[in-house]
Amino acid sequence: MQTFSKDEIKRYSRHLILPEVGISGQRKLKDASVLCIGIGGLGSPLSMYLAAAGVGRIGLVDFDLVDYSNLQRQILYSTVDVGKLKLEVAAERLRALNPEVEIVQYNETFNSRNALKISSDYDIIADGTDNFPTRYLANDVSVLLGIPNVYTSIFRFEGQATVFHSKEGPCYRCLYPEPPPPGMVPNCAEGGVLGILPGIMGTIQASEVIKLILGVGKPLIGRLLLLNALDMSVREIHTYKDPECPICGERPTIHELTDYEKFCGVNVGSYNNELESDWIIQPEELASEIIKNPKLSLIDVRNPPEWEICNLPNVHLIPEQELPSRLNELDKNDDIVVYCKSGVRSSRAVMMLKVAGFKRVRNLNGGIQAWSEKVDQSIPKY
Amino acid sequence: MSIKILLYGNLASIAGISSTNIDANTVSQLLDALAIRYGEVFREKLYDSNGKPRRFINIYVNGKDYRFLKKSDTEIFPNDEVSLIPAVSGG
Repeated sequence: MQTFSKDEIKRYSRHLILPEVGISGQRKLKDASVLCIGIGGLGSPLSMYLAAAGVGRIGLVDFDLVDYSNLQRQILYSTVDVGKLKLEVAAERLRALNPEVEIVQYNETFNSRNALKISSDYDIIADGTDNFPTRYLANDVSVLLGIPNVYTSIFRFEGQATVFHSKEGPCYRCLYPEPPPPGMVPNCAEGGVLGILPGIMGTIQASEVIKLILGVGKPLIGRLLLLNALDMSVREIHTYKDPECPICGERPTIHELTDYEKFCGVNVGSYNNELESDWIIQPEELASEIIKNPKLSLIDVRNPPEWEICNLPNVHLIPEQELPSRLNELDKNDDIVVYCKSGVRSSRAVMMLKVAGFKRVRNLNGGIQAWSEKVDQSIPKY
Repeated sequence: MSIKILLYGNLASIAGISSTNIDANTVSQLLDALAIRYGEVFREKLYDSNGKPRRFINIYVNGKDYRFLKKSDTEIFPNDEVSLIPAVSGG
């Protein structure tokens, strides 16, 4: 049984005088272990509040480096941390916040090979990742290990929060049986996100974790909380266990972790795979072709706010989503180069144009970011 | 008297509105009416290539998941509230 030092009594005093927590509750927190999957926008406030609250052992999984574009919302990190390993910075920050808690670092991607092993050391997992494959992976880990998965996800001004605990309610697959096709739902890098939103949602996530540990209140099991920061509305939707759920239903067909990238149709790091090499153009090649070929047609498939940050001259702006309905603005015999921020959206656009019968369309490899690195450094990266 | 629609995620972004009203008797009619009103891009988000509502968009009729009612044939009545909530993954 955990005991508390004088310093800890002082540190946790505002909890200790709460009837719902008290010494026994604080002891539960100290005995508890929580795995934070991802320490970005959601994982920042989540892990900070868990550490501050005195959760005894906190695991952090992440492999990323701190980038300038993180600082608008990932409050674990400061400007001086740019370029450092998130995990190192986060662990140091959390230990400084509360040296009484143990911080365990996993400097790796959370994947089918390591996920069960890592998670089996924890009472609760908290999914703060930024992609569908890892969200389905976290779900399946939670169901197979029988531990709760405290879930939040965000999009622009909207947040979703719930607790998936298949012993008592639905799992993620009950709620969303299938992921969207790649590119159908923009992520934060593509669609943008209000910096404060993960702060709000990450603290809701932390509250749910703490409540589960303490066994107080009413957890968000079987309830999906929807928050819209734009009109500051909060709604609740009841969610149901799906008897046909392939992992927690009556006749489960999934008994072990699978290939989540395949399930989500994602082919990480090889978005140009489906394009043959003559459908791809390198930034340096484009730079010389623009001079030689005045008829070269450039299409930017990003969204207008991205266009305002930076763009290439003499370009036709057609956001990827609008492309299918605006094909009449283009000539199928033109020599076309398509670009976006990093080359992913434009590779889809090139595929689309190819299928639509365009003769010569090429994807700017690495997008305008690569153009900025290799051709024109005056173009800002974002 | 019409049905109140609440749109979430990218559907709200494409429609340019998060709440609207529409006349319909079933979920299926309601989705068709939305696709006509908000155009081809919206339709493509809503339906897959076989013309079925995409599975990553949850549809709730008065807070109840339409998958556990009569799916697209679920009847709707004046003053009902229908929410279209796509999965999002940002973190």
